[in-house]
Order: sequence, then structure tokens, then C-alpha cells
Amino acid sequence: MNNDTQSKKYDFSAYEPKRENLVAALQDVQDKDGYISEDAVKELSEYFGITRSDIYSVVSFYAQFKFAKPGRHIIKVCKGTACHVRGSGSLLAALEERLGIKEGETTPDGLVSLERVACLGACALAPAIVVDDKVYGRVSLAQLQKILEGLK
Amino acid sequence: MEKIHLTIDGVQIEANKGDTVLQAARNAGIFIPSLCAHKELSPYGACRLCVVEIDNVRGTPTSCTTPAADGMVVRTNTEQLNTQRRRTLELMMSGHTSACFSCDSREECEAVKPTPAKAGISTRCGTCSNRSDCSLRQVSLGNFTRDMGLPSIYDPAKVERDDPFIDRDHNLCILCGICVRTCEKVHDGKGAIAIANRGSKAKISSAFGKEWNMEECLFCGACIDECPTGCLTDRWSRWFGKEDGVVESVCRMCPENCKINLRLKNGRLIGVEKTSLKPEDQLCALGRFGYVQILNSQGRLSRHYVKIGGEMIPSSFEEALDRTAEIFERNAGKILIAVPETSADEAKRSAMALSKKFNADLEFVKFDAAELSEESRKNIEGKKYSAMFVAGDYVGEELAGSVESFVNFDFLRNKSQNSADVVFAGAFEDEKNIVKKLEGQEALTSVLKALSDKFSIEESEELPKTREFVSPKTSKCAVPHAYMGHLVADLAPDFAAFGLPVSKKTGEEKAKSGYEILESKVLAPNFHSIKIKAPDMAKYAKAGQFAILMANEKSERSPFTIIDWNAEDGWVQFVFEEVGRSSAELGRLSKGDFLASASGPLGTPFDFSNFKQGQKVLLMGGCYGIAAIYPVARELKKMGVKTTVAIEASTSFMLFFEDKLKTVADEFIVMTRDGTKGSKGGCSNVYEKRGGEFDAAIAVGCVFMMKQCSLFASKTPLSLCSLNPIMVDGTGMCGACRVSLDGETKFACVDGPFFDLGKVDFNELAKRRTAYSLLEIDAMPRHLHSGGGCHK
Ligand code: SF4
Ligand code: SF4
Ligand code: SF4
Ligand code: FES
Ligand code: FES
Repeated sequence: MNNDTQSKKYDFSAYEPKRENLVAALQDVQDKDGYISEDAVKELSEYFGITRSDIYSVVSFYAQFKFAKPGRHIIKVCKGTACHVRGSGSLLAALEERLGIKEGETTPDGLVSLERVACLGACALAPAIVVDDKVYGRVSLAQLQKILEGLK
Repeated sequence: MEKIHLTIDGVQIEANKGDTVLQAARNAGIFIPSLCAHKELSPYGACRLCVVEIDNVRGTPTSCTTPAADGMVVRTNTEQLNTQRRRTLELMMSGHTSACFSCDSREECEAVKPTPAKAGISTRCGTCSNRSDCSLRQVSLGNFTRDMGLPSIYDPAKVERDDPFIDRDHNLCILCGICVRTCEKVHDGKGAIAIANRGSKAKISSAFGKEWNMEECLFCGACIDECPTGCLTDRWSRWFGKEDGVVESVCRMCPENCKINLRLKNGRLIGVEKTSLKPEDQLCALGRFGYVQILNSQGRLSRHYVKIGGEMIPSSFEEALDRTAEIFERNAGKILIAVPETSADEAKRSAMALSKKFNADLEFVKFDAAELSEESRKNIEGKKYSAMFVAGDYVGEELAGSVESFVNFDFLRNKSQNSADVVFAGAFEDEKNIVKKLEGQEALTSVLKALSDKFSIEESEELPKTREFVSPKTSKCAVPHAYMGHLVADLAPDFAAFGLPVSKKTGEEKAKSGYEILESKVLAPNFHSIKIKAPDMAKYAKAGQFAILMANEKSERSPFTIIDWNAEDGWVQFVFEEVGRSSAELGRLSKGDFLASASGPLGTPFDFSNFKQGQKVLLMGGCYGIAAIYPVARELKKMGVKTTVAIEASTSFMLFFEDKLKTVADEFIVMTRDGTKGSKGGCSNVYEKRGGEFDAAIAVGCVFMMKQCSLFASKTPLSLCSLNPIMVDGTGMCGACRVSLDGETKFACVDGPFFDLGKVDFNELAKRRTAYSLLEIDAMPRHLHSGGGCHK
């Protein structure tokens, strides 16, 4: 890919190229793509005259920004105390192993993203996971396998 | 400049308006601890060590960010401030490897080991290349007490060793931001690195956390020079420590001719640094990292030669000069002179004068060329010349031999010298002037100048026009491929990572056959375990013996203690610490790879005949000794001896083998120097306190640990130590493992490794260890970086 010959993918002209507008521009990128790509950082760097490492520093500071395109399905594992005590750790390990990714990553086919989240408020159902927007409680490893198989 | 007056710690001082409180105090000679303040960088206020109290100002402001004002009353050294500083340091240290600060034996240990161990990874000051010059250490030593109870944290993922030239260990980083600010300053606001993430994950990083070679970093090395800790280090020169002298010079590897500071130690060039933090004074990767490696490369030429009766005979400068003059006179009109275009102006003037006088063709060879111009080569082949004077490795043996007389100048050996009549050494010894000795190009100036003086010719006024070129300071892609005709990446292999050509593969090659590695594990930082397939060795191995292993054909032969073996399955296990080259090479092998050679078992086996069932024995292990006492303890336990196994490590994350040792120990004791696991202290504390209970004691560990234990040798009827760690080649030839026992000389590898703990002269041993340390630096691994290429 050659950036010189390719037309720009993003339009930042709504912003004056000033540092204080960087975060707003980043939000636009995230809204459009769902994540902040290397290409986006490159274009932001050229437009705002801020180095790539500097932009990366800003992006990585805010939890709201993502570096990877989210999968079509998002599995969130609760890391609250109750879930932890009841084995959310081994659930996460099992998920990581079966999906071949680590928390915060997305499978190469773009099917599933794996995340850990603060207490889901489903402590009575611990250990709990959320797949897309559905909460599953008292998840066993067998059940996990079924849930994974159901994802397309 | 307008002056203001303020009071600091009761003293009236004068300061310049605009100074910060910290600057004002410093100028007045008042010390305030600080880490993130840097006199040439903008104030940052991150480390919070420089806090002070100021009358009528709330709280404790950081003096590095507070402007001094007329009439201010400042206190820098109150009880409350010091407590606050200690808390701050404690926080900073809770993410840093800190065992040495809490260790009760630090002073003693550092007296025995005056330079840090050259370990692959810094796990404490004792294995940190920054020790001799560390601001963090200085501040910490001045402020900590030993009972701080700092946590023991280490994250292997924070060690980054994949980039050319720069090793990074973020376990040592204190996020002072000096590197970030330095990079930004020296590149006019366009830095390559920043602090990414936040909280406990915060880290100095390039964009997307990639290898720096893949990103904006130019490898100017500025950040390394300013980093106050051991986080950022220059892989090649880190173990030399602090220089003992700095000489200004000029880099002659490209026409930029940057000003450089040569860092010297004992008359040897150990590093090259920029002369200031001004953007225009920055260096390219070649100047910063390459020059020193090139000038230190093997095959340095330090004597002149003249051909007499068909043989090259070492000669004096005058002899070489006389012969060259003769050649010039005899061949006038048929001479080619070729010198690098980056030569000093005087050298070029002399060359031009000589060419005029003798009607010789003159080529100023392009700075990054590996051979002469096509025109010159055609002329040589067309027999235009009967003599040539070539400075550098620009013509091969054949071309050099095709003329009647050939004079070569080089700082390294090269092939054309085989056909030469005279060879001038560019690195000639000049005891009075170290720099001349170091710098090939300055030596060239003296050769050419002496020649033109000899004919008393006027030097030409004019200089050749300079050509346009892309400065390697602006792009990694513009780093010159060659210096004086030698390929840069041949002499400094890391440059291959920028896509620079090499003439031969210089990387370590893994052996393709030999002894198969069945298992390779990292037990703790720097500590590796390998199991190899070696049925013969497994059949004959006995506790206490060692074997000589070589990772590849070119490795040095090094002895390693046999830890465990199984005659039936035919495997042998070794545990070793990554210090120096051979162990680093071994550590890089993984399952399925081969050791080029493994010979053993060697050495006298441990003598079990002195032990009887029912006796009580104390076994003490530190460092690799934690593993090395295992086979002895196992055998003793089998004999029905009651074993007490005590192991020590600097800190909890350095412990290993605990479960394995418990199986052979009736009593198991853990000691850590910082008290993060087991009891605080070392094995010698156990020996001191409880020695009387035992019939015998055995100590295996580093020289310092055994020296400490030796003080209590009289507590047990029998006491032994293993002198494995002092062996070098393990054959009785190198003499490195010589040791005095009660005045009698022995060799650890032949007579040992086990000796009477109370009789060994550990002071003598310690001294000899230090003498070897320079040699060890030369043998440090320069591992080849694979990926990369040139990135804009
Ligand atoms: S960086 Fe300094 S304080 Fe830290 S281990 Fe190295 S020498 Fe010690
Ligand atoms: S790498 Fe060195 S200079 Fe940079 S923040 Fe860490 S300690 Fe400071
Ligand atoms: S080596 Fe130079 S360019 Fe690279 S990060 Fe350090 S200061 Fe910046
Ligand atoms: S020196 Fe002032 S905050 Fe670090
Ligand atoms: S190790 Fe060299 S003589 Fe013993």
C-alpha cells in the first residue's frame, strides 16, 4: 500500500489542525470504523502535525478507544469479585484457549472479540458472561462450548 | 540579568530572575534530590522528589516547576519532606527491581564484585549495567532504609531486546519522561516515543508499541545517553560502565562530519556520544552505534609493514614513508591516488598536492562506496598505472597486484594488503595521543602530510567541491553502506536490520546436528534449564561433575554443572545463569535445536565416603547453586543422611527449583536478601545461627555467597564449597580457576570442583574475577536482529 498515491480515507477538514482537536477527531474515527487503525493514526499525524507515537500515547490513554476492529460478536467476561471467586478466571482461560486469542483481541476471522469487564451486577449468577447483549449466568465449560458453537 | 534574592534553608542566596527554585538552589550549592529534572529539558514535575516547603505557599510544591521569586523563604530538608520523598521513592521502586537496596550485605557484596555481573537481564543493581552511573540508585541509597519492605515485581514482557543497538528493560523505567523529552527536543519537536497507556501499564513506547526499528526512531541514541536508569542501554557498550575520559573528535563516515565525543576507558574507545542536545548536534545511527564497533572490530591493524625480499615485515613509520616516497618518485606520471572523500581537509590538500607534483590521477572515493569508481577501475585494468596509493579497502587482491607497486592505508586488515609493498596502519600505536591511535582517518592525514612534507611541496589551497547527499541523520535509509571500503554491516552486524548489505553471514549459526535439546526452560530471569539427549554422559554422570558445552561450532568451550540425569532415558539436565556469551547462546536454544558439542562428565565426583547414615548435613545453594546442590542432596538423602537444604536468592522472583529440592530435603529453608520470601538474609545467616547442629556443611553459589559462608566453616567438622563458578575453559589450560588452599595452588577444574570451604582464599579469588571482567565484555553476545529493513 502506498500512501502517496492513495487518496486519503478520512476527512478532518472540520477541525483546525490543532492539538486540542485531536481527541474529537479520534472520536470521529472511532465512530466511523469502530476502532483506531494504524492508517488512521498516520493520516491524523499528517493532518495535525503530531507524531504517530504521540497520537498513540493519547489513544492508549483513553479506555474508550480501541486499537482493533471489534468482532461481530463481543464476549465480555466479568472480573468482579464474586465471579472471580467462582471461577471466571478459568472461564477466561478456556475462552482464550478455544478462540486462540487473548483478552482485548479479536479472532482473525473477525467473528469474536474477547473482553473483560468490571462487575456486571449479576453476582448472584456468578460466574457470568455477556455475549453481545445477553447475560449468561453460572456458566459451565460445557455451556461455554455451546455458546461458542452458536455464534456465526 | 536581573537578580532576585531568596532564603533557602536559612541561607540568603542570589538567583537569576526566571530560575526555578531547584535551579536557584543548585546554583547556590544546595542539594535537592531530583530525578525527572534535566538542565536542558523543560520542567516536567513527574517524580515529585524535588518537593520543598515555601512560606505562604500551600502544600509541598515541586521545586523544578516553581519559579523562584524575590523574598521567597524555602525549606528543602525537613522531616516531613524527607518522609514524603521516601514514600514517593517507595512507590517508584515498587515497580522496579530493588533487592540490592534492602540487602543487608550490599556493601560487602559490592566490594567483592566491584562491577555488576554481565547478566542478560537486570534483576537488581548487582546485574545492572547502569550501576556505576545511576541517578535512581544514588537518590535511593541516600533515602532508603533497608527495612522498607518493597514488593518484588518483575515482568518478563517488559524486557525488549529485539531492536538493533538498543536494549530496553521497562522493569527499570521510572517514567521520568526524560527520554521522551530528549527525543522531542533533539528532533525539533518530532519525537519517536511517548508514554503510552496509563496506570500500572504505562510504558515508554513507539506508536502501536512496535519495535522501534519499525517506527519513527532514527537510532540517534540520544535517549539512552540521558536515561537516568538502566532501562535504555546501548547493547554494545553498556558493560564498559562509565568512561574515564571524553575527547572531542569528528566522525568521518559521511560528509556531514559531525562533531562527536569519544568516550574512553583505560585508553580504549568504549562509546561515541553527541556533543550537545541541540538538534544540529545529533548523530545518525552509524555515528552513534557504528563507529565504536567499527573501530573496535577484530582485525585492527596497528603496525606498518614494508615488503622486503617478498615478505611483509613490520616496520617503523619512517621506513614505510621512505619506501612510499621512493615509489612515488619512480612512478611519476603513472600513479593513482585514492582516498575517501570524507577525509580531513588537510589530508585532501596533501593528496591534491601530491597528485599535482607527481602528475598522478586522484580519486576522492564516494563515502559509501565499497570499491573505486568505474573510471579508476577501467584505468587500472587498462594498465594506465604502475603504482597506486589507496586508503581503504577499495581494491581486491588481484587489482592491487596488477600494478608494479601498491601502497595501502587502512585501519583494518584487507585483502589488497596481500599484494602491497607498503601498508600503513590506520590504528597505529601512539602512546601519547590516544585519539590518533583510535582514529584511522586522522592517521591518514599524518601519512599524507608527512609524504608531502618529505617532498616539501606546497599544499593546494582549493578543496574539491562537495556533492549533494542525503544526511543519514534524517533517515535510517540513508545510513552509508560502507566505510573506507568496508561494509558497515560486516563490522557492526546490527546494521543488517536497516537492510544494509553484508558480504558474509556474521550471525551465530545454530548447530544442525549434535546433542538434541529435549527441553529448554526459563526458571527465573537469567536462569535457564536445558535437558539434552546424551546417553553416554547420562550413563557415567555422578553428582558434582560438570560437562563442557558449546552451543555452536564457534562458541567458546564452557563448563556447566550436571544437575540431573537419567541413564535409562539417556538425558542430562543443566541449569545455568545467563552471564556472558556462551550461556547467552545456550539460553537462546529451544527444544529440537542441537548443541554442537557436549563433553563430560568431567571433574572429580563428589566424595560421599565421608558421610554416614543418620548424620545431619546442611546444604546451601545460591544462584546456579540452587540447582547444583540438588544431585548432592539427592544422593545424601538416599544414603539416609538428614538433609537441611537452604537456598538463597536476591528476591522472591529469582527463586526456582523449590519443589524439586523439597523432595530431597528433610528440612527446607528459603532466604531472600530483600526478605520478600522466607527469611531475610542469605544462607550464611543460617550457617552462623545453626551450624553447630550439623556434621557437615556444603555451600554452592557465587564467590561472594561462599565467601560469606566460609566465615563459619569452623562450625561444622566438615565444610565444602564448589568452585565451579570460577572455571573458564574447564581443562586446566587457561589457569583462570587457580585457587590457593592454605597456600597450596590447585585448579578447580582438575582438582575440584569441591574444596574445603574454610581453606579457600576467597579474597584472592575475588580479585582475579575482576581481572577477567574486561575480557568478558569483549565476549558479550552481539546478537543479530533479523526483521526490519529500512522504514521511512
Ligand atoms: S537502574 Fe539503577 S537502581 Fe535500578 S537496578 Fe540499575 S543501578 Fe540499580
Ligand atoms: S526509559 Fe529512562 S528516561 Fe525514559 S522514562 Fe524510563 S527511566 Fe526515564
Ligand atoms: S534513539 Fe533517538 S530517535 Fe530513537 S527514540 Fe531515542 S532519541 Fe528518539
Ligand atoms: S525533579 Fe521535580 S518533579 Fe522530578
Ligand atoms: S577452567 Fe581453565 S584452568 Fe581450570
